[in-house]
Amino acid sequence: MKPVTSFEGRLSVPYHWHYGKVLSEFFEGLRNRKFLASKCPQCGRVSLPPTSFCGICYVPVSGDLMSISTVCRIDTFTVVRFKYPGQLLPPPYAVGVLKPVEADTRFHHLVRSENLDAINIGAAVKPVWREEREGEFFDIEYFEPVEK
Amino acid sequence: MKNRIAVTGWHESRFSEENAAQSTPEMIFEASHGALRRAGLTREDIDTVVVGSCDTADGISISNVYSVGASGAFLKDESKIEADGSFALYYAVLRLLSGSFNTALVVSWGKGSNFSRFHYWTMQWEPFYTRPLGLSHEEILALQARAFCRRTGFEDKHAEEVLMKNLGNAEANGNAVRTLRGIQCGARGEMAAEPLRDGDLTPRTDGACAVVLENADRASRKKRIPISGFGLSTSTYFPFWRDLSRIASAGEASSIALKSAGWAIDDVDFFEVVERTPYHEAMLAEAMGVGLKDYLGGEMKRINLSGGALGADPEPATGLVRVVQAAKIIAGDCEKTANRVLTLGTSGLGYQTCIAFALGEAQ
Repeated sequence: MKPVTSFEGRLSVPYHWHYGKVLSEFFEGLRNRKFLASKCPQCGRVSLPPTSFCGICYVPVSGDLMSISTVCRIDTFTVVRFKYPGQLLPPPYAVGVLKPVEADTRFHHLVRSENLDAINIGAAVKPVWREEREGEFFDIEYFEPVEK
Repeated sequence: MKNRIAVTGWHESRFSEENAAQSTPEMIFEASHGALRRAGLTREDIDTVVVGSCDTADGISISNVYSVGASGAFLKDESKIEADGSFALYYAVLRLLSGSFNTALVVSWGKGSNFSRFHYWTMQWEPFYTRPLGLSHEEILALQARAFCRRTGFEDKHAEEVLMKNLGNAEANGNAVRTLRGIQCGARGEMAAEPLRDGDLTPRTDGACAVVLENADRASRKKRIPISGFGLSTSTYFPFWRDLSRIASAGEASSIALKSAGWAIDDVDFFEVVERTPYHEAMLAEAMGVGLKDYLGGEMKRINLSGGALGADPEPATGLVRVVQAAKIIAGDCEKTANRVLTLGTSGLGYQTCIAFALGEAQ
């Protein structure tokens, strides 16, 4: 008989997270192929995803969200060539930090190109939308270079 | 501890059973921003931010990494304690007493509608033999209640009186999620884990609260609530190694707090305690030295003017909510005012750890 030394465990914990009003509108916007951003009344920072308060000026951000261009520029990127648990895609693939041309904040998403080695900092990219959209970040399948 | 630190601001977000209109960061911002406003301060005036939150509840590892913007901590000294919110207050008090900081913002939150309360508690069990055997926190509370009743003669009818008293008090609170009006008198629901009924357990609550601390020199010019004493005590991890009919950690914590304030138990006007069942309010009253007489058919006037956790329980923020309620009583924001309030918060299964604060002028 094998000596008793260890056992396999697993945690599975359910959650039900509320978006809040502003993020709800943001994800509704994605369903409609729109980028909806917020603007801080004090510093003027345009945030995407939008926020209901500015964590830097520490003031509430109210008013309607504004629709901005969906074109972004690549701020930095990496080509992922290793495997890890929970990975979305089999490597290789590129992850870019993207700054919408009409916002002051950045987010990350997948960047696809026929040639991964051709991806560059500063390049303009645009979203490739899914046909069936649910109101989530993967309503954008990935970003691809804007053809010159 | 002679009036060296004072509470100068506080705020609670709007509590509800499910706040679908706000995300967790939005609740945190509302509480923190409101507390600063009440203190007459801005984010720039704050030297350190301490949060009390639970990663399992938030569903994020080391979840204060996410709350930085909402808690006003951007590019500031910031720290977290994974415990009831009043433990964050404890850390903040010690930070001010160190002399390194003059002002602190203490924030705590719980969005009960977002997580499973069952997982929140049972994931505190070690994985080797307690967790696999499956035991909920409600069952621990029931086992304590049964043992307490056997030893003291406390009965079901007394528990009902405590529940009705707290839900009656919750009416005046204005920020409770369960009040006397909301339930039919006598209808405590079905038996959950004997002797506890569904209605004896605290209601699921979404809420955040925040407290501003300033050292006495800074706070002297304004309305201030001195923190005159505090005490913390922790018991064994395994509940069954304790006398389940008593909450020893509550007795230790409150006596240390009273001693540091120079108060006797009768100097305390009111108590604000985290009572997870009506039985546990009586157990805490006994442990703190208030005595059981009022809980065995007498008038229960001194504990939980706010309605306590039976009125609203945004765990793990509930201990800090007690401090906010105490500040409101002393500041004259409530129907009854007083000079001295003792608060009691708790963390761990079956009141493993307790923490007490003496709010009001030291002796």
